[in-house]
Amino acid sequence: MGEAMSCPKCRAPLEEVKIADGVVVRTCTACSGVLYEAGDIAVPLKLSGPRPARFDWPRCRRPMETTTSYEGQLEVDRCLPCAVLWFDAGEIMILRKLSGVENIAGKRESEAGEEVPPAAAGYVRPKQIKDPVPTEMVGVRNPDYENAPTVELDGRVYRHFQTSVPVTTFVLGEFPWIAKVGDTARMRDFIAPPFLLSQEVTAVESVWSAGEYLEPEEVWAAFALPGSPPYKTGVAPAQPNPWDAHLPSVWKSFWLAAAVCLGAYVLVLAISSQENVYQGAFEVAAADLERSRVGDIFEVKGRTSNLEFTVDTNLDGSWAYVSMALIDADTDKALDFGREVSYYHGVDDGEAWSEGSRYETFYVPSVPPGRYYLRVEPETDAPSQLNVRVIVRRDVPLKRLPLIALALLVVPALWAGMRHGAFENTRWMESDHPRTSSGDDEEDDE
Amino acid sequence: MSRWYRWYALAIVLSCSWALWRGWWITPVERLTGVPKSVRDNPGSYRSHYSGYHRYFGGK
Repeated sequence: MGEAMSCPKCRAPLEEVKIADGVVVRTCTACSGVLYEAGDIAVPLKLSGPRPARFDWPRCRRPMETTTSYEGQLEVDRCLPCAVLWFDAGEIMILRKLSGVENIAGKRESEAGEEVPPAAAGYVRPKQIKDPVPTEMVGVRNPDYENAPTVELDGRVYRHFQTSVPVTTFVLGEFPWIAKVGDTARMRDFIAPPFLLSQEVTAVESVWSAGEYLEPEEVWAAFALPGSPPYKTGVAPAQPNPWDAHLPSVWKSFWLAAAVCLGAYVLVLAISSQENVYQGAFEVAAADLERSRVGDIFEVKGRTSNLEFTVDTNLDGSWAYVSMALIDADTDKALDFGREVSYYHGVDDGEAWSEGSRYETFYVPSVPPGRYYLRVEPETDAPSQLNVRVIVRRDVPLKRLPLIALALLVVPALWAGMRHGAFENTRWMESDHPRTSSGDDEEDDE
Repeated sequence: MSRWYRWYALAIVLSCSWALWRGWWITPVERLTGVPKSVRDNPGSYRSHYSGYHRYFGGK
C-alpha cells in the first residue's frame, strides 16, 4: 500500500491503519468500510457466487465483484486483478463471529482469485438493534445546518455534532467488553449543551449514551484532588456557552433603554418651545471689516436650554468667518463662539457645481435664562458688502442625541453577541458542521 | 455582563434624557467671565477669542 486511495463505496479518502502481524488495512474515513489485501485475511472466506457489482474499485476502475461467504451470511466485495477485499462497516465483526477467529488479519495466500462455487444463500445484513430511546427526527430543520440530523430525548432536541469511525489500533488495560485491535464502530455525537448524546453503532448493536458537561472544578472537587484543575483551553462539544445566560438579558435591556431614549426625545420634542428669541441683521462693508457690532438685547426665558443659531449671508464665491459673543446684559459673563460660512459655485466643462452654503446652523449648549445681546465680528474676503442675518431659537432638541445614545447602547450588546458567536464558532470548528467553512465542507456525512 | 449592562444602559438613558432637557451638547463654547459692561457702548473694547481667524485657501 502507500498510494492514496478512495473508498469504492462513498469515494471518501481511505486511511491506512496498521493492525496485527504487520498487516496494514485501509479504512474509509466516512463510511468506516475496510479494505484488505486479499492475502492479509488469516481465515478462509470460501467466497461464492459473484453477484452484480455494487460499485467500481477506484484504483483500476473495474466493477468489484460482490460475493458471499459463510452460506451467504457475509457479503464481501472484491477486485480480482488487484487482489483486494472490501468489507462494509461491521462486516469484519460478522466475519469474526462466523469464523470463530478473533484475529482475522494475517498473512496467507490470496484467495481473492480462487475459483468459487456458484452463489449460495442470500446475503444477511448485520443485525441492528432498534434504537430504544431517542427518536430520529427525520425532516426536522436544524437551526444551523439543514442537512444535519437531530434527535429528541425527554423533550430536548440534540443537534448533530460529529460522526466518526474510530478503529482500535492498540489495546491496553481492562475493559468490560472484549476489546480487539481492528474493532471499529460508527460514533455519532449529538449535543444540547450541557447535555450530550452519543450513539455507537457496530455490526450487532446500537448503544446510546447520555452525558452532561461538568466544569473542571466540579470534577476536581468530586475526586477531592489537591490543587486546582488545569486551565481550560478550547471549547468542549457540550460545554455551555457562558454568554447564553447574558445575551437575551442584554438585548432585552438594550431594547428597553432604546425605547426610553426615543421616548424621552419625543417627549422633550413635544414640550420644547423652539421659539424665536432673536433675529438681527448686520451689514459689513468691505472697508469696515475691523469694526465690531452689537445687536439688540433679547430675553431667553424658561429653563436652561440650548440655542440654535442660523447665520444667513449673501456670500457669492467667497467666505466669511462670523465670530460671535453672546453677552449677558446683566452680568459680566459671555459665551464665545464662531462659524465659517462659504459658498462657491461655477460651471466647469459645461457642468454646474457648487460648494458650501450661504447659511450655517449650529447650536450653543446649556444657555441659562437671562437677557443677552450679540456682539458680531465678521471676517471675509467678499469684495462687496457682506450682509449677515442671525436668527436665534431656544430649546431645540437635538435628534443626534438619541442616535448617539442608541449607538452607545448597541456597541456592548453587539460585542456580547460577537463573543457568543465566537464561542459557538470555536465549538463547531471541531464538528462536522464548522460555521466558518466554505459550502463544500458543509456536506453532512450522515 | 447583563448586570453591568443594565447599569450602563440606565446611565446612558439618564444622560440622554438630561442632555435633551438641558440642551447639552459637546460643542466647544468658551464661557467667559469679566466681560466689561462697556462692550455695548464700545463694542471694540472687547475682542473675541476667535478674532484673527485665518482661513485655509487651498480649496477651489
